[in-house]
Amino acid sequence: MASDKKVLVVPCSGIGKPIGTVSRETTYEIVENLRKGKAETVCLALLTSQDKETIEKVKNNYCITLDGCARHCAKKNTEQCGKVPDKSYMILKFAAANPDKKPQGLIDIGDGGKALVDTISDTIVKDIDSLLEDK
Amino acid sequence: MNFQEYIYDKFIFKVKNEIYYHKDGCWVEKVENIATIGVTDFFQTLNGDVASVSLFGIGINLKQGDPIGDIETMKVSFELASPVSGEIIEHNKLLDNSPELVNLNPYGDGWLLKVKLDDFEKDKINLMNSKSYFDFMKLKVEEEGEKFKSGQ
Amino acid sequence: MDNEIIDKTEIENKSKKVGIVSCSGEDLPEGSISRLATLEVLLRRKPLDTTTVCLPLFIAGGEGDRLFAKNYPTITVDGCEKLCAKKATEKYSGKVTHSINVKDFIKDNKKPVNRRNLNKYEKEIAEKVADEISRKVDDILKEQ
Repeated sequence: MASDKKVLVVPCSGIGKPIGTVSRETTYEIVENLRKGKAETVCLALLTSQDKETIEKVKNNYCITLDGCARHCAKKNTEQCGKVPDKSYMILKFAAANPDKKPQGLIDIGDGGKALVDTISDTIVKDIDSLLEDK
Repeated sequence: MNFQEYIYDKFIFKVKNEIYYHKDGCWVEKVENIATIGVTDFFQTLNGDVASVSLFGIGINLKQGDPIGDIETMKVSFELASPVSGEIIEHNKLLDNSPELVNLNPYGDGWLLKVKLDDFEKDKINLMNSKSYFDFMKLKVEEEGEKFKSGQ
Repeated sequence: MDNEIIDKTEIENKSKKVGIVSCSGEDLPEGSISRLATLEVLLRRKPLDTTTVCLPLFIAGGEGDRLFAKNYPTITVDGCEKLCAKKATEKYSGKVTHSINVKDFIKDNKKPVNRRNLNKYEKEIAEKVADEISRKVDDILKEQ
């Protein structure tokens, strides 16, 4: 039933770039705080390794992918499993639109990165609400 | 389309054949009297994900070496130097919404601008062909090696 | 499109590095620990001896990404029994030289709970995993 569906926020694993860490941190902010209970995440690595249970879960729920850069790992790995994401975002675009909110490092994104997380989260929660209402 | 590839660490650097290269990071493809200009694969890899591209306006006349605009990446912001002399006649409109094309396809959809050439024979003195650029690039890759590591 | 590849043998001279592939599992605290331990080694402990690739690039990326485990002796770091990093590396890239599982470093059933803002205990686990990764890096480099 549509009302049982949740929104899965799938970030990239971006271990090589601060915008990858922003992707991850934004996901946690949404699923642990802003839309706890309505949004969840899944390990992208489970999609890469073609875990059947995870693929089913992604197919049976709404899905928003959150990639750090234009390599679109989260989007492509999700599509590879037969699910077209309901929405796809790239952190790089948010970073370009918010040059004063630059993530500082791979492990600690700093105040700029945290501000960017907040900005991105504000956009994504609107999508989550939109996907969950009257579907 | 023909490329040479140089593999260093986990990176593959592409050099497109049959075009020209400027030492400061741009390539030039000349068709009749029009030059299409972009940044090299090495340049985009070194400088990281492109967040925005700002170029000087249509109609502006440039000398070789003059600035043509800025590229802002997640790592740095830098000014690009024109590899040729001439008049800017076109910008790549795709980059307005998709600046990441510079990273994804630097020799194709990621081109930056077109210039109507003044004197390409004179410009060529300061340009490299693909073979010379390949050798130049290898040296630059070795020099800059550690900058390609995670987080730098 | 024809690609003429030159100097591919260059990589043979430069493979005195060890590759590390982390699961980075977003859904589990152990995935965050895996990621943190891997970054600790890549950035601080063995920056000149190690390299990495994002695991999902084995699907999303190109040939260069999938050559990773062929080009480098590779250590995988996983957060759980699903062993995503190990399995995906073996499936898409090549043989894994050594596999590490964060679960082996969790004692007395005291499960980590935080996926972000790791606490002192969770960071200690990450340090121990980083110790093990570093040891394995040294072992591999000695054999080369």
